[in-house]
Amino acid sequence: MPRDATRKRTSGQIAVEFSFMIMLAFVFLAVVLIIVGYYVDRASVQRREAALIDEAAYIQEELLLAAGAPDGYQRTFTIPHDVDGYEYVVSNAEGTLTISIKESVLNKPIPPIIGILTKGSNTISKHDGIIEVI
Amino acid sequence: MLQKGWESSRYGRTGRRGQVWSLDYSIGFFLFLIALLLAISVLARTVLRANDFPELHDGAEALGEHLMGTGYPTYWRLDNLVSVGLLTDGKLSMRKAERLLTLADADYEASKGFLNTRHEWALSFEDGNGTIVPIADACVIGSPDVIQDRTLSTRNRSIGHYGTSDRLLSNLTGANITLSNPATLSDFLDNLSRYEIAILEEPMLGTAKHPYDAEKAQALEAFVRQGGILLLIGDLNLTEAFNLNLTLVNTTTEAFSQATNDTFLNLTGTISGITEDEWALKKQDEYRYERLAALGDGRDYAARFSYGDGDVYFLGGLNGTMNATGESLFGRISRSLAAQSETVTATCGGLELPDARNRIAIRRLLAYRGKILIMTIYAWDKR
Repeated sequence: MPRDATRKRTSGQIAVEFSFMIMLAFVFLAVVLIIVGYYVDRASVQRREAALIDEAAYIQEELLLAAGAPDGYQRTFTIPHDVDGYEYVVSNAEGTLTISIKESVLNKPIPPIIGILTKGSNTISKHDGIIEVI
Repeated sequence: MLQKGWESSRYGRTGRRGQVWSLDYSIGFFLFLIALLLAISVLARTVLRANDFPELHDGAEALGEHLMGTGYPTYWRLDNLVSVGLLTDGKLSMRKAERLLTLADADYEASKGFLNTRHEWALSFEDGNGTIVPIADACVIGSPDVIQDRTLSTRNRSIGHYGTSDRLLSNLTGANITLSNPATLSDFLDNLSRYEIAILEEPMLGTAKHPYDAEKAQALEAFVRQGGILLLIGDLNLTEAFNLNLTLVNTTTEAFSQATNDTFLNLTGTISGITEDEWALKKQDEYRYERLAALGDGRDYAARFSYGDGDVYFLGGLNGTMNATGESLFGRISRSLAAQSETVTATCGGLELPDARNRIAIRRLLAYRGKILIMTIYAWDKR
């Protein structure tokens, strides 16, 4: 009877410790996932914002090139349908270019132009000092 | 009984042993866990950031390219800025540098947008001896995290004066200002690059004594375009230079100063005693034209407008009197000029850049007032 009791107590303790270990392993896994997830998410936001800035700078440079060029300038350039795999919205109004990806919005001043910038092919031309985008 | 006691003792020993083992193991495991989490955290950051130095290098090069242009518009101000550049006519424009300084001081993050950069940035200028050249009262433009070792002091702005009348000159002489008064218009124009403020007091250009010369007019234009301040008083005959449409005042003898933020001429109230040999300006189609005193017949007795990076001030003459104070107009203008002549500057010891993950410095050469300046552009990524 006493020997049986000893065996039972020892087995019970191992079971509790094993459960405890499993629980810790899960906690550990959860914390690891949270940390990695945090950094992945942050890197993703940074990449998205970088893509946003790069795309806005690219479009602005095209328009600045036209602004500094003489009359008769014409050039076709392409605004991609997505940036680094991110879907985005591009628009322009009153000297401001707006690009947004999800909740990130970037406004950038641009030279005055006539026309609307759209994804895909855009042709910039300059006549009488006025820049037109078709 | 004995066996029971033994059993009891054995149970107790077994229990203590198990407890000690569990506690030791748990503490050890937690310590291991914390170390592992820290390692994963560092590893995740490092792997996800990868090696971004090449990107910083490209960013710094692009920043340098931007700054070595004129910017857009070519003669940009803070309220119409699209893209920042520091050159005008292929030379460094100190006015543009001062505007960039104002922008970065007011909103550093916004300045990154105008420079199309995602990185932290700062720039400074050095002369051929390696001495940092201050921009206004600063040794560096850009990130507020850069620590600058500087000593502030005041200096007199260089003022040049030329004219057939010397009323303003006689009033300015003796004031604590640095004033040059060349004997001939040619000398005045040859030395324009030395002045920050140039005053033409009734130069009577276009007369037999001083025939109009397009080349001289162009020299004045270049002076203002590159950031100078030009004060034109009275008869000028500079039509070709600034497209000034001047007519004699004729009958009007009072001018009404306008509510503006102008501190250069600082006109207030009514100006009376204006005589018929003074001049009026018809509103120009100039950039940022602003009337400072109107004659009431659609013409202006005092006005200012921007030209290039600089500003032009016009005043019809110096005969008037400020009604509110009884002060002569030339007395008022002299006082305003004397107040404008002093400016704050810095003597720079050195710069201390903040701790960074990656950092790069690139150098570009710029022409400025007949000298070569070295512009050092710093770009870095925060940790």
